[in-house]
Amino acid sequence: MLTEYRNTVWFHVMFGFLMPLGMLFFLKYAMGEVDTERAVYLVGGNLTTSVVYGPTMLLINKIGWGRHTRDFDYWAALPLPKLGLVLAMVTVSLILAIPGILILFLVGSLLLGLPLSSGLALIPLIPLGSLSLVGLGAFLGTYAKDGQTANHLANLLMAFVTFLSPTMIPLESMPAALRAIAPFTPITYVSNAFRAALAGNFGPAFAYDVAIMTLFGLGTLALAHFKLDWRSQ
Amino acid sequence: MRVVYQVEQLTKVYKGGDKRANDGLSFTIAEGEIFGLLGPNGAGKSTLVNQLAGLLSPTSGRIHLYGMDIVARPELVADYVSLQPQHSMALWDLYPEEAIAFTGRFRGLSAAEARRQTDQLMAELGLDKLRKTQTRRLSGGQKKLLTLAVAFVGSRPIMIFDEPTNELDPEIRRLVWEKLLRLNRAGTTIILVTHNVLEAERVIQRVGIINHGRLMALGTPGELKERIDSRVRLELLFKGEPNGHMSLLERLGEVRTLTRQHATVLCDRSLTRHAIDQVLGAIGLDALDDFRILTPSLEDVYLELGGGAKLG
Repeated sequence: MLTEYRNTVWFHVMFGFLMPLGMLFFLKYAMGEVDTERAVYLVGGNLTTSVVYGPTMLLINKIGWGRHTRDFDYWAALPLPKLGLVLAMVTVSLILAIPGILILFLVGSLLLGLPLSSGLALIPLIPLGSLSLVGLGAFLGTYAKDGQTANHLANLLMAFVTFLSPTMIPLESMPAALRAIAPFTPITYVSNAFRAALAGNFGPAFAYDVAIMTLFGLGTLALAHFKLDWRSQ
Repeated sequence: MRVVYQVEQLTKVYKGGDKRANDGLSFTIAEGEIFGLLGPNGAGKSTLVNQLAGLLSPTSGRIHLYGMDIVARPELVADYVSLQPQHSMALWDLYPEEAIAFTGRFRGLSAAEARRQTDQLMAELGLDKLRKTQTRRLSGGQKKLLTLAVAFVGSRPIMIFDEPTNELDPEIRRLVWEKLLRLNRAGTTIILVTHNVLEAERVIQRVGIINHGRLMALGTPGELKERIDSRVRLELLFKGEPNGHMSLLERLGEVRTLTRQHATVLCDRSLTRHAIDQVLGAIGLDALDDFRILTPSLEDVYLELGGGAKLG
């Protein structure tokens, strides 16, 4: 699957960091002076967007378009477990996203004055965070009516991940309705865990966030394994 | 003989549509046979093979593969069946040998065996010279050859091909048919969807003719030929005008004139020898550019039964 990107690898890597990096610059210069707490929010939120959204978007689009054009038949006709295929796509997406995540972390930390030493703690969080929504991505891609609908669903999810969940905006500053939804979306826990790791807060709250996001990931992957039907209708 | 596929009352109506793409199909495919599916465009052939391959869910009906219910458990199909990919975009960024070897690995071959089969298939199908060309840059025919190799690798006991020789030049087509026959002799069950009836006739052992989603005819080519006009066809291509000979031809059987010099006589089987003697004696080979004696072909069966009009 990775070889499919051999002609376009640089484009994907560049796209992986361009948008969150642009947003980071925008926030830094639109907001002026940024204190450490705010910096943790911005870098943590951007990292969450890259880690969660990238693999999920790839799944929605790849499965959605692949099924629409029947291109996915090649994979569906092979004796591969559905979950194996989903995880392969996530791995590919992560491999393509890692340079972007690294650049984002380095530039974000240097720009906003965060210690680089917190980088190591992010290493286990990256795969865990990326898995939190992949089950949902696989479902949306599989049951999207066509490729165009899959695109719209991916955009909708991006809007939700970026603007309607506590990735960039502190939870307490959000409208009541979104605050009520926040505990039921894994993005909340991924953002919290990334921020805690960046700030070096590895207490019980961090463990709780990691446990919940892991459960979300495992739960939706199990659902994907048992309930996904690659067949066209 | 062991039954490979048992299809019962299979019906498919696509989501949002009201036309039955497959309508109550029931048939079996036996182990080791070459089963041909013939029918015009839009008849429902591809819908059927996609359901046999577990890529499309039926609206109703049952499909059993080696006795296993593959409507309920489509994931079992890939362990026994290989399907020639129709849409090769998943392979576009690969080199041909990667596409074949990776597919072999996915089908459970060891790295060494996948490599061995890849080298063998590339040599057999003339893909050797394309090792350094990405699939996206191959011609239509070359892509078709690659998808055939992808279906062959891993040696599944059942192989499904949809128009395997389209876009191939005559030499390669012959090579592909020979390969299919070799696989069949080794025990592979082959399901073949094709429009190329003349070529397929040489390999198909049993045939289903589909139109309007329904199975219009099913049997061996010999059985089906008996259901249509069984008269022998004498085709005569005259060197000049056949004027003086037309009355003779009309006495031998029903005459159809294709051009002024080209006539076909449909004569009763029991009178064939007499008719040939008459043509050779009264007209003579010197007066003819070509003289052929033809029995009904699978193409005649296809044309007559495929439309369904004469089947009722």
